[in-house]
Amino acid sequence: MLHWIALLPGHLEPCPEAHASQAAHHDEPQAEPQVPACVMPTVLSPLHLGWWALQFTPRVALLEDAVVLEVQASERLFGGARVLRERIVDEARAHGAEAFGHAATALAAVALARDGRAKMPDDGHDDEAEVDGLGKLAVCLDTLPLDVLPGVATHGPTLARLGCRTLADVRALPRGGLSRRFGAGLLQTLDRAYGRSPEAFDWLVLPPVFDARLELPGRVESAPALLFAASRLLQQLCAWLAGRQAGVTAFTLRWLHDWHRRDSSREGEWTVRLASPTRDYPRLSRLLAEHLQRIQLHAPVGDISLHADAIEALPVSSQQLFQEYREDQLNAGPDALLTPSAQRAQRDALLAVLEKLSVRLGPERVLQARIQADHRLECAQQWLPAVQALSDKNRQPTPAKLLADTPQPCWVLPEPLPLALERGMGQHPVYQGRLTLLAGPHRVEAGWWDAHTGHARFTRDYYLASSAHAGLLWVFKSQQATDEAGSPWYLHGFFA
Amino acid sequence: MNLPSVSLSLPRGAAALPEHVAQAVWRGDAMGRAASTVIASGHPALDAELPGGGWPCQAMTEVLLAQSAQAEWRLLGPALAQVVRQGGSVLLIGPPHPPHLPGLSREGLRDDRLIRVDARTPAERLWATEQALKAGCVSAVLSWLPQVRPEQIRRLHACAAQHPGPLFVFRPVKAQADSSAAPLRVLLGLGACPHPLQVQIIKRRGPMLDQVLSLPHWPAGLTSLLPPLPPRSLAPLPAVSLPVPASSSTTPSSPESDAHRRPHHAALDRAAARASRAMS
Repeated sequence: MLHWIALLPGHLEPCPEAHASQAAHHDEPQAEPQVPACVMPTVLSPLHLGWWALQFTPRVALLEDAVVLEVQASERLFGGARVLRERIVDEARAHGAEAFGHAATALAAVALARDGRAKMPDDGHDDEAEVDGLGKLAVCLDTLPLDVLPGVATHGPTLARLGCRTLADVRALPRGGLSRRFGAGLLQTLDRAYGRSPEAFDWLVLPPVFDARLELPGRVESAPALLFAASRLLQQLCAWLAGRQAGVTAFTLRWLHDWHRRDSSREGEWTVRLASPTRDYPRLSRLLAEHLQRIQLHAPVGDISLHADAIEALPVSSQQLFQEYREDQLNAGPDALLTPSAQRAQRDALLAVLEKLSVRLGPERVLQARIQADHRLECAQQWLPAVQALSDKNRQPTPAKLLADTPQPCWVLPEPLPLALERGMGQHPVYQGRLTLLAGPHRVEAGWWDAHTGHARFTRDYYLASSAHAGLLWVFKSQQATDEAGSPWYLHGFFA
Repeated sequence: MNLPSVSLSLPRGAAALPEHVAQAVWRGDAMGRAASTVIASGHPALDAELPGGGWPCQAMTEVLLAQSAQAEWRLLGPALAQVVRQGGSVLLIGPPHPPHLPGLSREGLRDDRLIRVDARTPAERLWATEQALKAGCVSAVLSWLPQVRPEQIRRLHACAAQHPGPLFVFRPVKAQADSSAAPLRVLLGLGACPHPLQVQIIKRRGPMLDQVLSLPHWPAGLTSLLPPLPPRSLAPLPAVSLPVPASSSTTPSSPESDAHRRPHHAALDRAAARASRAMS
């Protein structure tokens, strides 16, 4: 017994701006008031809903305005017919599908979905009807009106004048006369819907590359306003990625100017790179919004396109042997990191926020350090952009016991701070009061091998010093000859 | 001022309350329970005085410092190391200096778990902190906010409720006089020469704590180099020399004189606690 699910997409708004301006929500005070951080998803067209449905089964087809899926072969993989059906219906509703039906034949599923929609046009509640077995299917179809079945609806007015109100009335007519008067198509449609003759479909195939274009309804002058239109393309991208079971790691937004000065190009483009592959629409939309804030358009834009540059297969979270904690992350607390899928989700959440910070502040200001085996404090760690460092798969964990022989401060000054001297009795360095040397010297004499990198060789005696107000300090006395005025004492770090 | 009379009527009525309501009522003279999970601070003397026995998650903790880069890691290091051990990360937003990872990794803070965000302007710091709190990842967020208004603190505190980890906000000592939405406020200073941490809890869900906690904790490997702690300072000291900002170092002021200058609304936080303590 085959298992068909029919999805009826909602109606597309003709103008993205009209919808987006209502759907957009403001959650950031710092953003411009008229530009939202993210655009809520809108309704997908039947083709893109079909792309999205390809993640569940390779057998997806378009039937007039409906998307039909044959999911019988996938039931076991997704945890049973009922679980799969509920999942598809829930997720399709989030993508704007309005009505659902499932039955043993595709036409019957469409008919049931349409019938449900006709009864409850604006109510988003579950309109699905359960039909199993060909006998029950016939009983259920017999009561439906004529306009729900695609091949029958065209002859609806004529059949109505013959006195037919339901499909049962049409089936009761003599087949020979029906065939002569309405052509073979009507009988064929009825037989297919009732499971008496086989159905044939042109299966939907994903395009190998994603490159979608959208003509804007009006001229757009500022880059952040492109977000509304670009979000629609992003949603199509997410549908395409879902069908491929992949995530995007780089995509390019291109735009075409309506007019342009002679010295400037007619086109422009901006590539967005991601730290980890994703097809999470809110994350992509927020990231694109941040990028658009940085783009300056030099002329109005009439037309945009989106191209997926690089995609990667996304790991599918495997079935858990034990029921996983489906708690809110808040309550899960540190235990949330016990399962591999939770760890992956954590990593993605961290990368997403670091990406966002990097876009606004610049990658050189969101940093992570790597410990280097060097005795010079300036070279003991190397700061890298955090997104790059975290997404590096070849990273080796740093051995714990590096440089265990000398005390290491917790804060380090990027440039050693020269300390004044108290000239009274002897020569004592001063930093918020006279310093008391507690331990030392620790001689660091290094750097002769890479004088060319700017860290010239030096000889320093490090001391642990105590200041009345600043606490424990890491100071050094340079052993190199300084000019007359300079003090040989420097502050280099804090034991804070 | 009718606040005390309101809180006085509470204990009398508490006996008649249904059990689940009575559990939700917190009397000002009793130590509050933490609403969320806590992370042990690693200082037993401090844990004993913190509601729930540690730093709260999903809430803001304010640390007031006379000057930055004085004792942050010594106070928070053990708790942050625990966050890292559990798989979380540590985000530093607008730190005063670059942290030194070779020193911090000895405390258990791995270099691949520590992220430094160089936000400079106050608006950038607030924005970055808010984004880190909204991300929903298990992390400890440390934010240096030298200039921040009370309503901005309130907003961050509301955001912190969604965040599974702890949030520490570092502010200058002069912010002690301002009212703050943070449920836990700590004044951090240093003692005399081996510089034990001097911690004063100025606001908590519990009775007022007048004494200054002295926490003998130093970075790993440093203890052998330091002079021995005078035995007197091991015991909790009754309000001794808290360090003062470097700018006003010529005229040191004690916390008692600060208390007189404390404006009205800061004292309001305490009114309920004082009143119920006077009753019992």
